[in-house]
Amino acid sequence: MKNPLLTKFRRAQYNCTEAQRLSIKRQETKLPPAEYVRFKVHMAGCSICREFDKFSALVNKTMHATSLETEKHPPHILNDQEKRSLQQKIDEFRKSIDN
Amino acid sequence: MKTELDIGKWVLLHGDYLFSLAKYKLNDDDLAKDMLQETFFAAIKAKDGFRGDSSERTWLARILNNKIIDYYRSRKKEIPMSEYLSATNRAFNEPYFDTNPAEFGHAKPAAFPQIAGMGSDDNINQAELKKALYDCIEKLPTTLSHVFLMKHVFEEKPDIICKHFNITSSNYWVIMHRAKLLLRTCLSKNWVP
Repeated sequence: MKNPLLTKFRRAQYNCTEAQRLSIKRQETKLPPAEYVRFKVHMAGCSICREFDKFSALVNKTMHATSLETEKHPPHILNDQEKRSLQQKIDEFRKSIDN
Repeated sequence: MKTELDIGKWVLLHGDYLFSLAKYKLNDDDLAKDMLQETFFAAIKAKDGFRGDSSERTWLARILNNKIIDYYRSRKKEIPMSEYLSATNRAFNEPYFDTNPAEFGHAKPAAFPQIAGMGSDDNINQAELKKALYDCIEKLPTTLSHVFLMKHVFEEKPDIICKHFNITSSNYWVIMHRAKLLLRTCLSKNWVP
């Protein structure tokens, strides 16, 4: 008779699709225990997914660094005249709403 | 956190930042400026709804993001995301993973070529990686890039993104996985560190 636990274990070992989704999920939130175990079992034996996990983390890190940079130093700038004219339109629109 | 909006200083305080976000997502100067103005007008209409549970800037960025998504929606007929995902599931996964039941979901090594320089962080030129990554993001299908950018440029939480696109959390992980698979493939071809 097949051992159901062993079947589950083998499935986790083979399923890179699931492991990679879990890797992304784990980088954004905490995995429930069952998913965590399947993730660890898979990662122990799969270099492709270990590398994917690293890649995914690198993408997150790069995107986050860029976000912070955009906050501090926006790469695209409106010139002074554009700024004045836009703020003027905003002020006028606000008046028309408030009245 | 303060609950008063500083409308008279909006352009000075947030103009360049919001313009940069809009420019990044729309890739068009005039359109980005129009969208920026629409965002400010919409924000004024909604100003009584500002509760101060996020910063003024985050609140404005969220309105901008909604405007941009509405803009893309208005341009094409949209099919629900979950339908799109299930319809494209097999075609998408086949090049990457084994679909034969015995080895279901097993990665095909040829679809995961090594990316040079991935091994150690020191060897990576951050500026070059950033540029290559952004070029690759531009090539993502818009359905995926909207979700990806909402997470990684607007830094929204998964539950807010799911509500916004009306998708389940499992749809969300599938989308992020697909986006990263495509980015990985693109970078392995286009990025030489």
